Amino acid sequence: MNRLNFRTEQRDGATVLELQGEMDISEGDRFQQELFTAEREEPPVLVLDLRGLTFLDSTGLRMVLEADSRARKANRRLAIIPGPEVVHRVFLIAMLDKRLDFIDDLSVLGLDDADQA
Amino acid sequence: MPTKLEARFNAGQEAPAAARGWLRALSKDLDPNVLDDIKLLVSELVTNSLRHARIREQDHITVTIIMSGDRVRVRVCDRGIGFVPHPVVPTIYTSGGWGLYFVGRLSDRWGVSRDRATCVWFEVDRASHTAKRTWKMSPSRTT
Repeated sequence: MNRLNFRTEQRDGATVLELQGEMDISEGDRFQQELFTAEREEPPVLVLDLRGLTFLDSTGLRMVLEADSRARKANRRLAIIPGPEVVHRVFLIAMLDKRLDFIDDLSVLGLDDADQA
Repeated sequence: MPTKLEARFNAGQEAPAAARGWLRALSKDLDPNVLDDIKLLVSELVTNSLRHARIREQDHITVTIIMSGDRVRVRVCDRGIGFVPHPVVPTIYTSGGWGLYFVGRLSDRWGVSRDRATCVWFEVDRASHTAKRTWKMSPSRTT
């Protein structure tokens, strides 16, 4: 049974990976694979939309951190739309809310559809 | 009189979610903030057992909850190889070690015991977790 659903789309000039459901060790491999797939095209901006998550523990946190490191090394941007409080507090407790690139919505990225070739 | 609840979960990848699902039954007894903290920490400790204890899928992970008027004590046990907890604060450069870091930050007390099983236990004081908390960019706990 999948506890986590993914949807990837091009929106406002960014690649957006939406997560819905619960993220724990049972979905770690699938999340990793979805990230690798989204990164394969080397999008300048990859957005993780966590608003549909109902749970996230350190397995998910670790994968977000690793994706952030890959993006920085490749000079790409990884932006994150925060999840509900029960999810976002994991980043706050880990004191990563300033280290990671959290955004309110896509409009703050300053991109538009015209950028999307 | 403390209330004791115990459940065993197959040591597969579904164990953390199964344990969280079991904990939902405590929603009548515990403040939502306390329950959210316990769900996260149990998920972390069950995941640690799966990752580090070298247990087989047919083995079990046992979660025990003891609720009293002022605190909740939680114990997660496995028959794996055991481990020595390292008081390491993870950094952005080390992607591992977050599970026990969360246990340290969210619980009021925690520790490890080894007998026939390896058990990680933690306690949450109800009073300090009932109030809505704001997490700050500070290394000290907000209670």
